[in-house]
Order: sequence, then structure tokens, then C-alpha cells
Amino acid sequence: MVRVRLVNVTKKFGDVVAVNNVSFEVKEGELFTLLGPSGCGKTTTLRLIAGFYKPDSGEIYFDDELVNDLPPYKRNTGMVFQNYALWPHMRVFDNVAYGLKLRNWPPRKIIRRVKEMLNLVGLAGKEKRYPSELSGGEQQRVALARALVIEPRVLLLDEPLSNLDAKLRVRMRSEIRKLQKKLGITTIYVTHDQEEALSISDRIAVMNKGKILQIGDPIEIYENPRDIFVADFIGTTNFIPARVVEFDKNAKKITIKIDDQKIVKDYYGHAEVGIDVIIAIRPESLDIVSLSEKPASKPFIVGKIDLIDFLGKIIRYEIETEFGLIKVDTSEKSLREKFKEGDKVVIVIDPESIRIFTKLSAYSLN
Amino acid sequence: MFHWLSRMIDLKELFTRRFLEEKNITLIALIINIVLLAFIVLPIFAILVKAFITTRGISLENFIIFWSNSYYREALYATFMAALFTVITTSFIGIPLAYILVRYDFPGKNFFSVLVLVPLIMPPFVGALGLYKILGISGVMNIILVNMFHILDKPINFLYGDMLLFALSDYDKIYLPYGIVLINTLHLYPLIYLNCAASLSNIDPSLEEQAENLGSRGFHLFRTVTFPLMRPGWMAGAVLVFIWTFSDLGTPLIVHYFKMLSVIVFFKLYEITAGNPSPVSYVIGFIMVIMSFITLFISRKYISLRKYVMLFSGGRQVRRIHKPSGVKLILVYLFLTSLSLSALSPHIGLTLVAFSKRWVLTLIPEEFTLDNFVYVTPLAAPFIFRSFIYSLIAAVIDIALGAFIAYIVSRKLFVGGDLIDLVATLPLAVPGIIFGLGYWALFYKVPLLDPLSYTPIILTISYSMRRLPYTVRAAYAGLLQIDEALEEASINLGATRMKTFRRITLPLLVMNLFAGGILSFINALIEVSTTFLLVVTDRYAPTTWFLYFRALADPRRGLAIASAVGFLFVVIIAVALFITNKILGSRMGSVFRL
Repeated sequence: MVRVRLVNVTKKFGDVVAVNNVSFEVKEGELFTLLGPSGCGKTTTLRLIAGFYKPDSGEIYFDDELVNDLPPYKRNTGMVFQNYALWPHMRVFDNVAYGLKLRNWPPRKIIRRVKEMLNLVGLAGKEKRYPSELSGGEQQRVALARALVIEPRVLLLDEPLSNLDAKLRVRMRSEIRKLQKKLGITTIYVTHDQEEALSISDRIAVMNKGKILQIGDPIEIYENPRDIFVADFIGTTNFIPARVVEFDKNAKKITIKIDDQKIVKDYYGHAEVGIDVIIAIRPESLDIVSLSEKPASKPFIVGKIDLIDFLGKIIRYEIETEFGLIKVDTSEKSLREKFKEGDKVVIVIDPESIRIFTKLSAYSLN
Repeated sequence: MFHWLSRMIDLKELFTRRFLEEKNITLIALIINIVLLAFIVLPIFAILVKAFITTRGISLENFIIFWSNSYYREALYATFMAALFTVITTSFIGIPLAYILVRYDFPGKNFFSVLVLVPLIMPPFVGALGLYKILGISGVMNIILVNMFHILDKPINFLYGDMLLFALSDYDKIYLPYGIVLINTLHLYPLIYLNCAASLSNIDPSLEEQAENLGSRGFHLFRTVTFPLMRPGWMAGAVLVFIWTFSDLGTPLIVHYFKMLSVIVFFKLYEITAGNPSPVSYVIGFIMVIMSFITLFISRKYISLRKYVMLFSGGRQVRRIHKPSGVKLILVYLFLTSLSLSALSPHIGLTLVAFSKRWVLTLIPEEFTLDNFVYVTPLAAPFIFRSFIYSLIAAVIDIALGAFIAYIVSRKLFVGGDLIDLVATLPLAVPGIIFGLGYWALFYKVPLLDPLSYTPIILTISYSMRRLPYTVRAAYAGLLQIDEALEEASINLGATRMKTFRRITLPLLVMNLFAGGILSFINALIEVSTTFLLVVTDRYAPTTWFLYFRALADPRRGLAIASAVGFLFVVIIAVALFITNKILGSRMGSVFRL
């Protein structure tokens, strides 16, 4: 098991900067996820670690060994490709045994080891099948077994679940998680699915446009997004424009105004009186009440229910307001009887759960 | 039980409804079936049956006659060896060529990718003609080796002759006709190259990256992953090369190497018209049919493999292209240059001979002239005219049949469409000799179809059947790109399927059909084996027949005027292929694939 360390790594394709000055360190035995939309550079980063690309600048270390110039076939990483890349002309056994044969293992040991590995991923007895005779989930396990069997220094998973159906995806991700913990193998996981990332990772790096925006554990990423993009990409977030009316640098208190309601909040960043800010708030942190129940102490926004969306556990209300559509989630079944589509309601904001972003950064909210 | 019954009713209802609504389509399908049956399936079948018919009823006697003659046995061995070795040599050229041109990027790549395809614009027997003055007994190679560098004592005919591989017994010696292997290698390696290149560029890059990730590299990577994945393409090309060489008539005739199965069939043809059909011909026909079926079967198996290679998709595709440098780059250029020169040598030889006045014991002709063309053109004119008429009609038939067959198969209009597809593809694998022989077996003395009295009709039919796969494939390729929803929209608005086909599908398909038609046309133009087998007299003969039996037979300057006719051929084909390429573009390669 190794630590993987990237220092100021940049990779360009022509004029496009795919990976822009990226640095991070993956600890031994950790499951580290690169999360971001397609084209954000996460797969390129993974391929840089696997050695399929050379960085234009920056260094990649396995422990303290600089691997920049090490070709992929010498890095001893185990990679699982998005499409599994199972060799169609080889049986399951030969697919898994491939790496061991290359390492000149004696045949008898190979047989035993492959068997062990297939048992571990739950594919005992399928040695003689061809990949085309397996289901999607089974193909995925073969790919995983093939990568793990060589006891790689680091396991690289490139969107391994994206070709599976929703149910299987959830099952496989917990299996991968358990397997990874059991083997204690350093793992780098690439996905665009934020729910998957939150559920499986020890730590997450959120990427956009070749840059890492935030690194943290799942709870931190979800509850404390440091960037407006992260706030928007992880989960669902409402954005409401506001303006700074008072800022006390010493007391770290900020007062902002939505419409003509004031909100006072602790604020550790930098701000100036008079600038526009965006406040972000999760749908589950909002409440709705009828017009007659307008709260006296909390800020609120008036709107009209545009859509009631029953999502199983929760009900999502999409409410038309002067700030655009605002989504409110509630699990209170009683509200179902209370409001209909078209009703005028009041959205109550809890000042504790809002986050304030002063800069739009590179990201635009449309 | 009930479920099964209700399905039956469904099927019946579907069938009757379809028949009532789409009588025309059904009728056309019926005609296509009859045509394919009469002119492709039955002739093959006739040979298979006649091989067993003897004066004493059905028996293996014909096979015993064939096998007890050591000359026939040796011809069988020689033919087999020629085919086998040609597959080996073309593979040794075609596979590295595909790898280089698909995986490497270097200056001049596009130039070479065109140049290495040049053999395709040469009818094989014309290529052999062009090599006369290069590798023949008085050819340039001998002048260099004997007269200039004194490496050899006396000249060798590189085109004619064989070498003993091994002897099974005193009467069973296995010879390799190296001249035939050489000529066919230079002509056929593009088939291996095109098929391998197609397979190679279809390989999902991640399959090779995964192997690298696990520690594989270099030749190990090629052997364990890359080559197995391109094997379907290689197999398809190898099948074409094998069958072609195994049944090729033109090349052995031109180099005067007669101990080949195809030549035996050809020389025994007169026995049929003499009312005494040779049992040996049908035995040879039987062997050839079985050979092509076996190879076709093998390749089909691999083609199904090719399908499941494509099954894996998704993920990003990073094309694996390297820029070679240093020694590697020099080797690449060396390989490509020597290959291109070899591939061009028949063309160079042909051109030089065609324009030469006198060419004896010198490296290039001493004097150039247009005399050969002036002399031969009036003689060849009626034959060329007939060739054009036959080939044109054949191409038109192919376009009509091809359009409907591809439509029926691709839109799955009828049960058994796959079978129609298989039969229509059969001519790619079944040699021309079989068609010629089969037509004699089936249509001799049949009104309107008898090769003896109705040569033009049966010849045209044989051309169109032989080249049917080209239009079927071109049309099929086009249909795959036409969204079925376009047709459904038309049917939804009330048009019948027939009307939809005419108004919507056909106009979108016209360019593909035209391109396929051109390919059918030029291939009919250069058809040798069926022509030689079906044509008996000058009166109805096309150009290839004239070239061999009249021009080349001219005692005074046969080679020169035959080369002049050959040169005209090459020009016509080059123009036609250029037009086709403009239309089909990158899809052109698919026409030469199995």
C-alpha cells in the first residue's frame, strides 16, 4: 500500500488545459474520490496516475518515489475501466490470471490465487465463462478481480459503476467499499455521481474545469461547501440573491438583506458593505407554512406552489417566487393534505443553515 | 399451450395483413428468391450432385478416378500449397502494414496508404502480364542478376515453375508453384491489410491499456491482446485470399503453370460440349465448393466474434497512435517503400511493355511508340464494346437486386432474411470457376440459358450474380445510416411500404447504389474464370477473352499488344475506382471485406 501524492500537476491537450495545477495526497488505505461533471479532468487525473499520460508539469509520487517517467506497465497499479475492458477472447480465468502470468507466477499458484480472488468477489465457478456470457454486474466483478489479483500498489477505479442499473449500482458500491476496507488498499475512485461519492469515500476532491475546488470528507463537502459550484453540484441547493448591509470585521458578524428582511449571521470571510452576495440553502432546511402563519422572527419568502413532486420518502415543493423557483423538501406527510398546486405559501428560512458566497468565481448560475 | 396458440394466430394475421397490404414487396421477395435459387444455389448444388453421378448410378467412382491419377493429386497439392503459402505471405505483409498505417503517425502516411492499395486497380492476370518483363525469363531481374552482377549463371523464370516441398511417395510429390504465390501475393495483400486495419481500428483502446496496466508491453501485448482482437479481420481477409488463389484461373494460364485444379477444369471443358462431361471436373468443383464452405464457415464464426468485440462500449476512447522515431521510423519507411515499389512493379512493367517498340535485354525499352495501341485498338474494339454491354447490364441488375435485398434484410421484412443475406454474400467466397462449371451443369441445352448458343445471356447473368455482393453491401451500408423512423413517418402518413421505398428510401440510397454498381461493373469487366469457362467462340467474347486467346496468342508481338489492352483496362478501372472513392469515401474499404 502506498501514499499517492500529486504536486502541481498540469496536463494540456492542445490548447485545452485538462488538469490545471492539481495537488493532493491520498493516504495509505484511503478511498479517495475525484468527483466532478464530465470533462472536469477527473479521468485525465486518474490516467496520469496510471501512467497513460505524462504530466506537462508537476510531479506524481507513489510514497516517495517519483513515477512521472515510469511507463504504465511498470507502475503496478490496478485499474478498472469504465467499460471493464474485459478481453473478449479470454475466459474469466485467463482474464484474471493475465497479470500473474506476466509476473511469472508458477501455474499452480496462479490457479489457487485466481480461485481465491474469484471467491472474494463472488464469482466462484465462473472461471470457464467468456465475458460475453456474464451479466453486467459479473463483468464488473471480473474487472475488479483482475485489477486486485496482482496486489497493486494502488487501485484505480474509473466510473466503475456507470454501466450498471440503479439497484445494482447501489449494491456494488457497498461491496466495493467493504472489499476495499478488507484489503486496506489505497484506492482512487472517479465518478460524476455525487451520491455515489458521498456514500463510498473517505475523502472527496470536487473538480471542475481541471481544478480541484475542495477536498474534504463527505460530511464536510455536503454541509460546508466552500465554493458555489460545490454547493450546486453536491445535492440540491437553492440560490437566492442578497445584499450586504452591514459587516463587522471584528465581531465577525454580517448582516444581509433579502427583499427588506435582514439576516444577521456569523461570517469569517471577507465582505464589503453594499456588495451583492448569493445565499445557498438546501431544500431540506426550508419550511413552508400558509400565509396566515408568517413568522415574526425568521426571514421568509412568499411564493406560489408550482409543482408538488412526490419522491417517496419526501415531498418536494417547487415554489415560484420573485427569486425564481425555490425547492423545499419535507417529510411531513400532513402537509400533503394542507397544500395544493397553485396555493400561495410562505417559505421560512432558517438563518443557521444558510451559506453566503460573495464571489461568483468562474461559475455562473445562469 | 394457450400462449403458443395465440402466437400462431398473431403470426397468421400478421402474414395475411402484410400480404394484402404489401403484395408488391412480397412479389419482389419471391422473384429475388427464385433468382438467387436458380443462379446461385442450384448451380452449386448441381456440381455437388454431379460429382457423385456416374454411368453406374450414384457412387464414389468419380472420386476414385480423380484420386488414382497422380497428376490430379499433384495438382490438388500444388493448388492447396499455392493458396496456403499466399495466405502466409500476404499475412506477413498485410498485418504489419495494417499495424503501421493504423497505429503510427509519420510524414507521408496518407501517400503510402493510397499507394499500397494500387494492386486493387489491376486485374490479377494483367498484373501477371506486367511482371513478364520484370520477373520473367528475359525480365529486368534476370538482366540485373545474370548480365550485370553475374550472381546467377543462367536466367531463372521467377513466374513459371515450382519447387519440391516434400514427397509423400514416388508418385505423390508436393510442389509449391512459387510464381503463382509471388504474383498473387503482390495482388492480394491489400485484402489482408484492409480487413486487419478495419479490425484494428475498431479495438477499444482500453482493452490494450488494461493489459499495459497489468504489466504487458511490446510484442507480448500484441500477441496476447492486440492480435487476438484483430483476428476476425485477419481471418476474413485470409479466407478471401485462400479461395481466390485456390480457384484462380487467370494467373496460372498467363504464367503457363498448368498443374492447377482450375486449369484442369478449364481444359476439360470441351468434354462437356462433346457430350461427354468429364467426371473429374465435377470432382474438382466439389472440392472447391467444400473448401469455400469450410472457409466461409470458419470466417462466419469469427465474424460473430467480431460482433461481440463491439459489445463493450462506453468510456472514453483515446486512440493509440504513436509517432515512431529513429531506427523505428527508418524501418517503417524501408518497409513501405519496398512494398510500394513491389506493388507498383506490375504496373510499371505493363506500361513500359505497352509503349515499347523493342525491349530486349535492356533495363528499360530502347524505343517507345504508340504502335501497339494503334494496332490493337481496332481488333479489340468489338470485344471491348461487348464487355461494356455485358458489364453494364450486369451492374444494372445488381443495383436493382442489391437495393431490394439490402432493404429486405436490413428492415427485417421477412422471416429468413438472414438466409437471403447469406446466399447473396456467397459469391464472395464461391469461386468463379464454380459458377462457370455450375452453369454448364445446369443450363447446357436449356433454351435461352445454354452457354453454347446463348452466351451473352448466361454470361451477363453470371457477371451479375458474381458481383451481387458489392451492391448488396453498398446498399446495406447506406441503409444502416438511414433512420428507420424516416420510413415509419412516411408509412404513418399513409404511404405503402413500396411507395415509401420508392419515394423516401431509394433517393437517400442512390449514391451508395451507384458506387456499388460501379464496383460490380469494373469487376464484371475484369472477370476471367467465368468468362473463360462460359465463352466458346469469338462471336460473343468479351475483352479478357480477347486479351488471352487473341492478343497474347499473336505470334509476332503478343506480349506488347496484350499489355496495351491491359493498360487500357487499368486506366478504366482507376477512373471508376476514383469515382467510387469520391462517393463512398472511407466506407470504400468495406466493399473488399468479407
